[in-house]
Amino acid sequence: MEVRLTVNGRERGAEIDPRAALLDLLRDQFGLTGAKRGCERGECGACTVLVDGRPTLSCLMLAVASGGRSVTTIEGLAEGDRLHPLQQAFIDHDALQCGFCTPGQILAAVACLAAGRANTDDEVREWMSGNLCRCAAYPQIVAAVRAVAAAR
Amino acid sequence: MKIFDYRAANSVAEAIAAAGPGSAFLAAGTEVVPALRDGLLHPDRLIDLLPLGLDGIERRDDGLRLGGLARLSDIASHPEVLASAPALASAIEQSGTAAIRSMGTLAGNLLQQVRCPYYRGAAPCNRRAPGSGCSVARGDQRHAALMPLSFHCAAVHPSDPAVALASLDATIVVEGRAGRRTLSLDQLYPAAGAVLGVPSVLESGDLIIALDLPAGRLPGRYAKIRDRSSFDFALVSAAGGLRLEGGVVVEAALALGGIAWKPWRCRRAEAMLVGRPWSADLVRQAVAAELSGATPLEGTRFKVELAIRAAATVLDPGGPS
Amino acid sequence: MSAVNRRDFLKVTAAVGGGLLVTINLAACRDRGAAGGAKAADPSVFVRINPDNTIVVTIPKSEMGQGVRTSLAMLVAEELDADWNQVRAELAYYDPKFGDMGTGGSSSVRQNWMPLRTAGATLRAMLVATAAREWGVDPAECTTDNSFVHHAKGDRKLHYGGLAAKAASQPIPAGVKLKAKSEWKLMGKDRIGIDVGPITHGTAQYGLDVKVPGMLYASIERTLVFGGTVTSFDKAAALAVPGVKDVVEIKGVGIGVTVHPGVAVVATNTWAAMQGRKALTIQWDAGPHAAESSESYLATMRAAVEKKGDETVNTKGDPDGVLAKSAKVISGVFETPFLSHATMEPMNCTASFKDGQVELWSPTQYPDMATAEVAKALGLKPEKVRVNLTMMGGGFGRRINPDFSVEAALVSKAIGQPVKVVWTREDDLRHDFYRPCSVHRIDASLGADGMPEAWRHRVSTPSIDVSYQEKPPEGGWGPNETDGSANMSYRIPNRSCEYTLQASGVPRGWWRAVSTTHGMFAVESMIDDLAAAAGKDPVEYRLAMIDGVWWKQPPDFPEYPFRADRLKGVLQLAADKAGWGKPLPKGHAMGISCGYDHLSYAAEVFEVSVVNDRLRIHRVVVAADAGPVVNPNGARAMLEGGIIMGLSAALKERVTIKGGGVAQKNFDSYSLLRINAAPVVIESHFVETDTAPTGFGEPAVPPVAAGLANAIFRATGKRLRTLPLDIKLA
Ligand SMILES: Cc1cc2nc3c(=O)[nH]c(=O)nc-3n(C[C@H](O)[C@H](O)[C@H](O)COP(=O)(O)OP(=O)(O)OC[C@H]3O[C@@H](n4cnc5c(N)ncnc54)[C@H](O)[C@@H]3O)c2cc1C
Ligand code: FES
Ligand code: FES
Repeated sequence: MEVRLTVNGRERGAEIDPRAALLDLLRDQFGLTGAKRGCERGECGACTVLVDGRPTLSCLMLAVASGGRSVTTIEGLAEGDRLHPLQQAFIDHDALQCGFCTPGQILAAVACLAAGRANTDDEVREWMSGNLCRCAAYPQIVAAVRAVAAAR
Repeated sequence: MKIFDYRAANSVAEAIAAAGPGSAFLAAGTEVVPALRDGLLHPDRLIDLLPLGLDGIERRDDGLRLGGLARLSDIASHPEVLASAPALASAIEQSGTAAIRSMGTLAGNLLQQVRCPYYRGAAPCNRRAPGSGCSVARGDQRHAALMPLSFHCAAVHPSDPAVALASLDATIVVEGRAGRRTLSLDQLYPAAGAVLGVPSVLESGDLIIALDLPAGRLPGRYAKIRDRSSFDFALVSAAGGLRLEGGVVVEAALALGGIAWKPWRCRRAEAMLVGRPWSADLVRQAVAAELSGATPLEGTRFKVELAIRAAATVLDPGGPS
Repeated sequence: MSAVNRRDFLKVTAAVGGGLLVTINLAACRDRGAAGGAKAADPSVFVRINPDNTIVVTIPKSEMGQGVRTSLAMLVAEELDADWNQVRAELAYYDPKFGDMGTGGSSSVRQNWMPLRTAGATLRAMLVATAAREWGVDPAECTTDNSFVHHAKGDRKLHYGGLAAKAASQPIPAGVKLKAKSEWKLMGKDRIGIDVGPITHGTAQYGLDVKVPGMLYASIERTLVFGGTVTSFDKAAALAVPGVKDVVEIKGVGIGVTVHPGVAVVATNTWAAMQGRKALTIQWDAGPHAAESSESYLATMRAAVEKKGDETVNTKGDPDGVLAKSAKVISGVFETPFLSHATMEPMNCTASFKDGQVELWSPTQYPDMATAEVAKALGLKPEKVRVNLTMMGGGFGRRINPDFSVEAALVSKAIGQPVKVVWTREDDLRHDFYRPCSVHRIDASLGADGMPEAWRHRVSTPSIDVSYQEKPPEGGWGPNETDGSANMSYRIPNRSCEYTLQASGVPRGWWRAVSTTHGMFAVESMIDDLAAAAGKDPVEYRLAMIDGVWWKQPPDFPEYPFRADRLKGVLQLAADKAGWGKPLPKGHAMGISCGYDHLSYAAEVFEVSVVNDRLRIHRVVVAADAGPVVNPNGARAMLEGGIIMGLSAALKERVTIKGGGVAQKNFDSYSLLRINAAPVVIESHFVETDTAPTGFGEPAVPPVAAGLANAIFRATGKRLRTLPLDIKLA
């Protein structure tokens, strides 16, 4: 099947199997490997992207269903050389160890801020609880998100 | 996974017309996509409903109307919902994760399949493979029903929002081949003893277009008891509230989750409460009476106590409102 | 430490394209230590100074989140007086010439401490000499700072980048002096991770992200019963799936590698490979372990610790005699389950076999072993195998095993094309090398002073070593399995440790901190019980008993002897910082534990409350001593991460064996501690004993379970002796 969508501001099209997930399309066909495959069951959050601004587990969305929609992946978050404030905060707060969960964490955090749910540490912890980090950079992740929230 | 024909629906009529014996509706897919992967669902045709919109939340003279495809998170943060149905907002906030709530639709949530480990495993399960047997009787019963659908299946309905909706007297607006009809939440799910396989009584081509929350109901609260904090389905949950006058209960609503194949509206308990002076003991007696008909499996007996605890939380006049 | 004061471990040449290239031969310096035998005298680490003043350090270690790139680059940069903002780190590909590239056992900083700093200092001296010659001044009048050589008198300065090419022809000075800790500019201060930009941009390449031209994808259906084999299979249905190219049988390999027998489906994309895999029909022979289960292991291990162990790991005095005579014996039986590493990135590897050679892109922690085992499995000479290291989504010991590398090499050879073998989460959870399950029984008696008089510790576990070797190491299977048990550091006049091997078909491996994760749980819980029985304060009680281990030092590292003062130091510091003994909020209680693991020392205090049977962890205080701290930020991250991983294991994780295979499939059944349940307050403190540094990656993990159980005991009076602890978080 043919699907056309906007990815990181750019129109893109692809010929896809209707059974493929958006995650497969992004990683295997568009080469956008920032979204990670961690569980394919909605349990880990490593595949989080934004679809029309909504935090979306790309492993649970069919690629065909993304037609006409606008997808933002970690690769499209910075504006040119200017990092998104959350990318910068994750660096500044060392909010990552192996970094495998980081793209998903950052996009979940973008949505957390957009939803206005970063007012307290507990709010952030609750919102971000769908994103596993086995390295357990949790304290630093909370700090990074809160720092960006405070700067707003 | 079978290759299916994918159709994006352009209108409700078109979606209904496209439906047939081998078709399935697709909303956000959080439930459908894993089911496709696991071979629990193998449609010939998948009809994508999201292009229909049907996601508005509007105030009407007689209450609130929630679009069938409204996303859970949009409902939970809507000022009208927070004002008149906080129990629903709270039930949603305690469901899944932020991303699941942001993706998942209300109709999809009500129609999700059971989470019984045997349904998603390889062991016998009448729901997955009719006639193969139910593994709960001799297996893990922690997540099983206190009041099972029938001898053949002991799975519980996993939805949190459904419990809140049951306590709020919500009605479901269904558009189907024979036109439009409304169902109560109780009517959406099969009657006790029914044949299994599907989570609801809806037939092919039946599309949930909206849910109506009647005005003037007790706003209520929601309490969920689960194994790990955040991100787990309920062991037991309760939704509801009370109104007292001079210490006497004049109005009560209570629904329990995690104990049956559908959200369990506790009419008997409500009747026992109304007209009597409120006390913690009264609540305990009322819930115990409600559940007295249950003949629990050994491994589900603990849920009676949990149900009483959950109910006590939402029916505590001193609790946060 | 004088071992590295030799010139031939460094080679300095002009770099292609200008600048200078230093090759540091780690093997040569390590050989001189008392530690190891002689190794190939070939280069290992590269430092390149480019004309544009950037400095690139090529790191011969696997980066899996432990911050090794940052801390190793800091070692060089500190002595070099480099501008940290201009320092980059690169991962090496594996070459046997690099010497031991295995990354584990918290060894990275320890092994590179002297060589990398010496290299930095030597290089600095050469740059100074070059500048001095340029200016015609005495090198002694020159100083360095931020990648510049300064001549204060002449108010002149020169860039390292500009000096580099000329410095390459300078003689290499011997006996350079290293900085004292007080002179450090970079080290000892917080540094954020080096080169993390690509991670936050999503462009960092993990194993899973590798793409090589012409690459196919493979998914393997492996035996779900350990020890099972393929008797026959029908590939027609799989081949009929659009996109599927080939179906290849994988024969099981080796006791050590444990490549499970199975059938690989190769396709043009992951999706088709998975679908083809589902379409396979395979007949299995379940093999000899099909009846094994967690219960069956427990039953035999429980029985084993009721009698004398098969191996006596060590003994002192007459514990049996004293226990037999004592009026009151205090006993505890402790049980722990199998654990999975559950790295966020599931196993995977890309391989390309061509013309009798194979190249791999592998997220491996141990390229040496991967190379050797791939060569063996393919019947190649090791020099025909090249392993490129990729970024790794966590390791924790799982990626030491070369199984995924060997699988990819086998499939690529079979189909004659590059292939990526992709594991699903289910594959990863069900084909791990698990932290062994265990049962411990400790019997102890107290003297009149309340101090333990006798202590008999019996351990039964499936051994890790048995998964890798046919014959026990010298001294039996016991010593490695009883790390943390047999060598616990309390002075007790009559004590022994016995071990009984439990047979099991479940593959076992090294899980962050390894055997101490269960041994220390038993020991530190029991010590707390004894303190309670004696009516003594748990901190005082421990301090009074911590002693030089009387058994044996970790045999491989005589240069890092166990030091009682260091263990006491962290214990005291943790207690002080936590406010041990001071009044607590109502309902709160504290528990403490401490231990020695991978040559480092840690003590932890947990402050908890239990209301309605639900546990809240209010605060965790950790004190650790791994010598001088190179990067406090990184060290804290390791301690905090270790504590949270330890809590995850203490409260949630359990692999259940049923019918000879793993019952859990995904994170819904193998649940990990999430961010909302992680403790809000973890305070890390350091004791920086002036020795060569060891590591922070592991020592924070083992004390966690006991520390938490001790706190719960003090809050509720209930002693929990089974992991995961039977208590739910609020
Ligand atoms: C990891 C995880 C955790 C979760 N935790 C919770 C929890 O704690 N509590 C809870 O309540 N839920 C939980 N859920 C369930 C989640 O809320 C539902 O999966 C989601 O709401 C379903 O919505 P959807 O739009 O994705 O439905 P889909 O997957 O698209 O559809 C689900 C079903 O509904 C049918 N359907 C959808 N829309 C309509 C319609 N308008 N008319 C007729 N039929 C329709 C579909 O045919 C399908 O059968 C969890 C889910 C996941 C994946
Ligand atoms: S890969 Fe999508 S949630 Fe784990
Ligand atoms: S940083 Fe490794 S999983 Fe989060």
